[in-house]
Order: sequence, then structure tokens, then C-alpha cells
Amino acid sequence: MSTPRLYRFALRAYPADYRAERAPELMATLAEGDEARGGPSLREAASLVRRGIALRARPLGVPDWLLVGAAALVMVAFVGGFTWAERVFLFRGEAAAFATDGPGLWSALALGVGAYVALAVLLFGVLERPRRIRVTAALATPVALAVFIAPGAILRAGLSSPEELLDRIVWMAEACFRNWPHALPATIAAVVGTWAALKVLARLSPDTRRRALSMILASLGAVAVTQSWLRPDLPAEYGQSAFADLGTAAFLAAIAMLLALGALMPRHGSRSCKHRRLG
Amino acid sequence: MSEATYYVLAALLDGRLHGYGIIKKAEKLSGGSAKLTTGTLYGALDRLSDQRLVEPAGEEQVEGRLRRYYRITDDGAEAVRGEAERMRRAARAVNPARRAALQGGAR
Repeated sequence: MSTPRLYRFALRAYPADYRAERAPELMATLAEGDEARGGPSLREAASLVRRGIALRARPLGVPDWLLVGAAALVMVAFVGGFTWAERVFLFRGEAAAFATDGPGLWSALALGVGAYVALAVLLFGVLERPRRIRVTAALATPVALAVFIAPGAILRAGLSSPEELLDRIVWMAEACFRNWPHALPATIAAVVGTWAALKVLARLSPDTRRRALSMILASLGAVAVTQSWLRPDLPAEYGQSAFADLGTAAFLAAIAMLLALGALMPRHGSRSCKHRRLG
Repeated sequence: MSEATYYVLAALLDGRLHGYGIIKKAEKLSGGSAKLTTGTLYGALDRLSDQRLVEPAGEEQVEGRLRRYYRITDDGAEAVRGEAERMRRAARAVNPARRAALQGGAR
């Protein structure tokens, strides 16, 4: 019996110990299917790759909520970085106005959300998370964006008194109103994202919910500070060049810490990828 | 319970089957709608084995190929019948005769 090269290649996605134990059985099943079909199938190969990656990811024990959080952080970094790069190019260090006035916000959001949805669907699909989790992951990002970027904007404004804060809010609201085509997608995204985030939080166990909330609060602080430093549209006295590196480092450290935390956490459920009982 | 899981369990209700046997039976039982791939089938079998809803039931060599058989456990049979009952009740919700009867009662 010879196995088509396509399947042999796809089977490499499986962890070595699983492959060593189950490959003969899998190949026999594939061969019977090919006989009935009249040849190897791409659909079969794709399904093997998907399942193999899922088996490899499972022992890492990354819980769903952490995946959602990590993906949201990646998204924030992506959009932040894109906006930043674009502004560097457009303004070459000039002091620019608030994000609502920025010409690139719309396109940055569209590009970022598009990339994120693709990323979320791929990531969560490959890891065999239920559709509910995949949809929530795709929807939860806009709210993360709104929550993370707003405090940065307030910090950036360099407020010194309550009157000034009020002035700023009125000014920003007015700017949003004036530039409503810019603000509309972010508003819709924030509403949908909030709804989705609340839905998923309601389904988590109290313990997981507490951890998810503390993670969101911790990363909110980190990203708010980073965002306020990472922007080149600040006056030079904010010292963005020195602090930008520090901020980026802090942000990356926060992501690394969260991922490490996820890897160390006990696995939920008692799924095992080995089948000693069958031996 | 996913569609794949449901049809794997349903396929095993009449006795033990090997991998490709389950794929064929599931497709037949579902009227062609459940076309399981090998990757999906073994994903479902791994999960169902962990939950003790199916168990290994011997193996043999046929034409130089390994055939490993699976059978449903009592828990597995209970789980799939429970799911079938749940779906039967859910289907009744859109049954025209039942809807008409309920409306008559409300008047």
C-alpha cells in the first residue's frame, strides 16, 4: 500500500507521537476513501492539516479567553502601528490634530479590522474552537480598540484641570460630529464589540471572568500609556523618540507575559491527544 | 453535540465499525449531508473516546491494511438518543399542525 505524497505531507502536521501510533489506521481509512472516490482529495488533506495543528496546539492549554485577548492585543498593535507609520509619512513629525481629524483613521480601521477578522477566523478555525468563540473573537476587537485608544487620547491631550477636560470632551464630540463619516465605523464597531464582549463574559465561569477582567484592565493600562507615547503627532517635548522604544518594549513584554500566563495555566477539560487505551 | 459527532455515534448504534465504515454509514444515515473527512472522523473519535462514549473494539488486517474497530458504549448510546430526542422536540416547534393546535388552545 502506498500513500499519496499529498497525504504523507499533510500527516506531518500531526504531533510525532500521535502519528507514530495512529498513522497506519489513518492511512488505511484514507486509502479506502480514495478507492471509492478514484483518487486523493485536497479536502481530505486540508482536514488532516487542520486537525494536526489543533492537536499540537491543545497541550499548550491556551484557554479561549486568553486567545481572544491576545488576538485583540495583536490587533491593537497592528492598527496602532499602521496609524503611526502613516502619520510619520504624512506629517513628518509635525504636530497634528486628534485622531478624528486624521485622514487615515478610516482606512487604518478598515484595513486593521479586515486583517483581524481574517486572522481570528484562521486562528480560531485552525484551533477548532467553536463557532461562537470565533465570531466573538472577530467582534471583540473593535471594543478593545475603543477602550485602549480612548485613554491614550485623553493622556495625550495633557489635561491639567477639570474645565480643560470638559472643553476637550466638547471639542472632541464636536469634531466627531463634524467628521461623522470617520467616527461612524468606530462607533458601530464599539457598540457591536461591547455587546459581543458582554455576551462572552456572561458565558464564562466566574473564575475565568475575574481573570479575563483583570487581564483587560492590566493590558488597558499598558496600552494606554504606550499609545500616548507611540504617537509621532505629539509636540517634541513629550520626548517620543526615547519613550517610544520603552513603550514598545513594555507592550511586547505585556503580551509575552500574558501568553506565558496562558501556557502555565492548567488545561481545561481532560482531553488527551494520546490514545494509550487503543494500544 | 456537533453534526459529525452525532452521526459518528448514530453510525455505531448497530454494532462495531472501522474508520471508513463509520464514514460510509454516517453519509448514508444523513442522506448524504454528513460527508466526514478522515481528519474530522478521528477528531470526533478522539474526543468521544476521552468522554468514554465510544471504545476500541479490536483490530484486524484486511488486504494488508489495518482496520481498527470502534463500538459505542452505554453512555454513548444514551447521549446520542438524548440528542435525537432534543432535536425531535426542537423540530416540533416548527411543525404546522402543532402550531395550529397550540393557537387553537390559546383562544
